[in-house]
Amino acid sequence: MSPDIDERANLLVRTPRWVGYVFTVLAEVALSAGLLALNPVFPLGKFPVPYVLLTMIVAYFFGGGPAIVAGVLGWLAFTFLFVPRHGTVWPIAHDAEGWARETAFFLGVSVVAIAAIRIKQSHRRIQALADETMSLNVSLTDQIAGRERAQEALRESEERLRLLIEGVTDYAIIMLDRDGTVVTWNSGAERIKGYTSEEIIGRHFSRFYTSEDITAGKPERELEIATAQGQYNEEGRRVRKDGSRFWASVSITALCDEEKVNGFAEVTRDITERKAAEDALRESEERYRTLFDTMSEGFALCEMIWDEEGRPCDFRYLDVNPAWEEHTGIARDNVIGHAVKEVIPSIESFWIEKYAEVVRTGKSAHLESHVAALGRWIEVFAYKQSENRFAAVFMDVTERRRAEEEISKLNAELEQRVIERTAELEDANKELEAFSYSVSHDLRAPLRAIDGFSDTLLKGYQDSLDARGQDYLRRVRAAAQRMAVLIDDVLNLSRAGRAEMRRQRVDLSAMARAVLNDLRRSEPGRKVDTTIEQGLIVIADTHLLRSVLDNLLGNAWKFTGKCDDAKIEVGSFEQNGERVYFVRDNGAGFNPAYADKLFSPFQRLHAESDFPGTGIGLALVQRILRRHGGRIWAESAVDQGATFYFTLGEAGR
Amino acid sequence: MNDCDILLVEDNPDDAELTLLAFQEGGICNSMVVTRDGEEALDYLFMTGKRENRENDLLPAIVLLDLKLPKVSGLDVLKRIRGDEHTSCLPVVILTSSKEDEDIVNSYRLGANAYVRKPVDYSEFVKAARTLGLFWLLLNEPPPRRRSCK
Repeated sequence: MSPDIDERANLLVRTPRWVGYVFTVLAEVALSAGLLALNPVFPLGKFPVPYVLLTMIVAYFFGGGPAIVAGVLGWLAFTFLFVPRHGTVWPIAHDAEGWARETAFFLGVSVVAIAAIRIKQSHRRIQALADETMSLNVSLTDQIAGRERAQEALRESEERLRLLIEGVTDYAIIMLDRDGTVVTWNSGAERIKGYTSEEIIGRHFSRFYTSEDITAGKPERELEIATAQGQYNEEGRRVRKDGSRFWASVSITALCDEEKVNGFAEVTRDITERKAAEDALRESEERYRTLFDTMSEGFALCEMIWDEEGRPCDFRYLDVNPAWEEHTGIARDNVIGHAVKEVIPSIESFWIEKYAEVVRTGKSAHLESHVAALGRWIEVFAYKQSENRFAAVFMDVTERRRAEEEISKLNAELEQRVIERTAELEDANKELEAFSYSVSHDLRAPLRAIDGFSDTLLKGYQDSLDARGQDYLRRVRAAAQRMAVLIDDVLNLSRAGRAEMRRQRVDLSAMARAVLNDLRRSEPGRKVDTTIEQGLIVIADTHLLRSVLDNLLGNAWKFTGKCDDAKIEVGSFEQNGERVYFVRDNGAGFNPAYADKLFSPFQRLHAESDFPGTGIGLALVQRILRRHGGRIWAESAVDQGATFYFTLGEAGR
Repeated sequence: MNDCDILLVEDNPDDAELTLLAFQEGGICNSMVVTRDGEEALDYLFMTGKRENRENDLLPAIVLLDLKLPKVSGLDVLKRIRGDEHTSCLPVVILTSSKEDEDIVNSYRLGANAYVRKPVDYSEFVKAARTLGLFWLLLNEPPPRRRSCK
């Protein structure tokens, strides 16, 4: 029995001892009174059973002391009250029977009391044990309940963590077993790597590595490092399900159970964009660095220096590029960290003021100036770089300045020359005008005289001339008349180039009809079949266009002179977005080998005797069409007729 | 020669001669006076200078005027003719070698009654002279003939 239980047993008899004695005395008195009252009805007889019972009760409840008192009091009460007196007050047995009875009484009381005490003690023990059991039970129940609560909390927490991990989409959070086989898979992993959890759980994690890394044994090595050091971190290339590669930030943590690694947690983040941004930044930096180092413009980063009163007094070089060194002839090491007044003592103060203004206002400046110290012209772009700092980019423009001066000098000369040339041209033009006027007027007069007097001779002096003389005179006349036609044609040609052009809507079809009608009237005997496309409206100079048609249709008319079924056609078609007009005939045609000569003045492809002409017409037509922004070309073969195509530039559209 | 129907203003003697011949050949036998330049033509018309005392003081029925003339040009002569009250109605036919648009336009603007270009072909010229004569001297009803001066 544990001391604890003894203690409890004692606690049960905590009732003060005197209560037992008082109860015993009072109970004896009450019993005796009761027995006396009942004695007439139920005589107690010779055996004090009620007193023995009382003693037993007292012994049971209050222990040995009170039981002795109860036994003695019981014996006294019984002896005095219920045993018949034999003349003596002393209740001592006076006979053997009395002794026996008394001895029996005390023995019985003693046995009963001891038994009662024993029973009591047993009861107490049992009670104590029961109590102890009960209390143990209670504490056990408490303990069990507490453990259940803790387990529940743990479960909830685990569930929360699982949901949290599941829900993380920016990170792939994966549990691996000791060998690197995937055990758990979150949505972040699915998003980043492309596998669903069904596809990947149970597979080895090496499939996230590039084939080169797998060959190099990287996955295994990483697990070894994680095992040895607790964690492995890196940024490297990984492979998605679709085979595409991405930059990943990977962290593998060894999970230990009692100092033994039983798995790994791998956290992966897709840092492709960050890498790309970093790469871009690096590239950009490299580019700018390259630019800085290789640009032909001098570059200087400077810091403004102000005096105590806040006025700009100097600036300090923070960085200069190789071009700066080259342009200035000053080594970088002698510049960086030095003030400009140290580097270029003779610097004009206006540079400092100008740069100060850039720093103060933030407005960039562009200036070109002569630097006496360097003896060069420089062009400078200055802009504010940060608080109190500015960058100056400069170019040596001495050569350019020199060239510009040269150019402006040349320009002035050129202008003067243009003025002179224009005046000369104007004079020449005037001369030409006078010349053509004189040609039209004065050159004709002698021809007229030649022709006129020859005719007069032929008519008035016929008798004095033989047949040959008269023939010669006729030849003189013919030549004079031909010369007159030539003069007219040359004048027309020169006029076509000079005359002012007035473009307007012209009905080309109607004009062609009018020209052909004139031709028909001039030779009423000829039968020519003509076809003219209707509604050809063009924008052109009426006068000049009439010349074109006069010549082209005139030619067609002339060169079909020897045909029996002469045909002339005027039409148009669209080619490369341009309207092309044509005049076609089925006349003599020409040898295409000479096509390029067609449009040169005085070039003729036919004998004068076959088809008369001056060779000016097509040259005139070409000149007119060119002035309109158009072109002319021809197709033909000998005796196959000819087609002349022409355009009128935009005006014809 | 008391009468003057045609005043020819022509500096080129060949042209003058041919014009005379052409008119004759064309059957126009009216009298013709030839002046060799613009100044002489004006003197004749206004009876000034060398022609101050010409016998016949009537104005011609028609003036055949060349444009390119020494001293005073044909157009200036025309201007003077149209500018003077006495001669303002005088029929003037420009007879010239020029075919310049400018000359034609200016002539009409200054009041020429007709513009004829002398053909090089003499036969054509004869035809032209005949037509001119027939028209201006016979067919056309001229304004009343006036004297040259007040």
